[in-house]
Amino acid sequence: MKTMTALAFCVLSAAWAAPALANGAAVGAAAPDFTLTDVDGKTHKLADHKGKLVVLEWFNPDCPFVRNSHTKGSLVGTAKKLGGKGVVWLAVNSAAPGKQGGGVERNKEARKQYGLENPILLDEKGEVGKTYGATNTPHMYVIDKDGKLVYRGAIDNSPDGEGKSPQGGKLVNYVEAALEDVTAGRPVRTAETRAYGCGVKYSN
Amino acid sequence: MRRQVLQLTLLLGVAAGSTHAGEGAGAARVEKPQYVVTLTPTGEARKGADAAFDVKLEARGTFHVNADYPTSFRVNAAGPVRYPKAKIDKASGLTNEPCSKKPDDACAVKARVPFVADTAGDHTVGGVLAFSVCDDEQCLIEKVPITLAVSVR
Repeated sequence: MKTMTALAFCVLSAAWAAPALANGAAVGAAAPDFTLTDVDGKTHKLADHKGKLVVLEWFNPDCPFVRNSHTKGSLVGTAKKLGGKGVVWLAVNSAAPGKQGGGVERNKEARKQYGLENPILLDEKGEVGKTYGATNTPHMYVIDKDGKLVYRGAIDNSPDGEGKSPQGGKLVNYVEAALEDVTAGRPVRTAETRAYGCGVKYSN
Repeated sequence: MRRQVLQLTLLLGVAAGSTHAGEGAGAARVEKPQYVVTLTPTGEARKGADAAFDVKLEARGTFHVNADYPTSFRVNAAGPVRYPKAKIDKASGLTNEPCSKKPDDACAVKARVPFVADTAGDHTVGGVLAFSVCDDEQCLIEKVPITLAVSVR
């Protein structure tokens, strides 16, 4: 009886402690390595950026939330600004072939459309997206210089994408806040939020 | 002949413009393949007295309401019509209705919008509904202006 109780307790504890988001990209753990090709045919390996702060932005140019964020909201000029401070910014598009916003040509156009200078990596099989548990576009991940995931979630607290409806009244750019905390050597104060936006256009 | 044409024109005009608060005669409606937005009067409107209309968004087909988006209805305050609330959102009375087949999703949102008309006569009430609807293939973010003609006694 005691053994059964102990076993039940272990099972329940394991279930309770399970991370809310699946597939290995947990805050506080090593960010899963990956190799993807960008729209110019160049290969990018996450591990090559160890020693630098990295931001991953799940991206889809035809998602109206991505459009809003890149034209009116918290992503306007953000990648370029942070790039100037040594942050590596990688956009990842996990749309399957034939899905909205996918493909090399559309994403090359999107670079011009949104004035992007950062690479846009194509993850057409969705393997990297699913490994990271990316559910929306935009969905943001911040990785510290040791390769540890320190933030995952929304770009900010205004789920209209325009920055006009901040929850709590004050607009917070969670990515910039996380980078500030990491740079200051303190724990990231908001390490996890719920991403908003369109669903990632996986194949299934 | 001219008189008959005039009378017919008048009758057709009345039939087309029949949206009155208090008579249940009609509702304003904006319809797209992905959604329908309606304004419906809730009862009689009298000069200087509280009145209201309902605003409702219904997702259509494969679409559902994006519950993360800050859905809101902003009134068009103009002329002799006053609104106690300039904006109605989740915090101030906007509610979701679940989808029948997928109760975790919302398939409609609605709110009651109070107003007071300071003068009798024909007035226009309404505003802009901001919302997002999505399905597996795409999301839309819309800001739909919609108005309702009301007769205030």
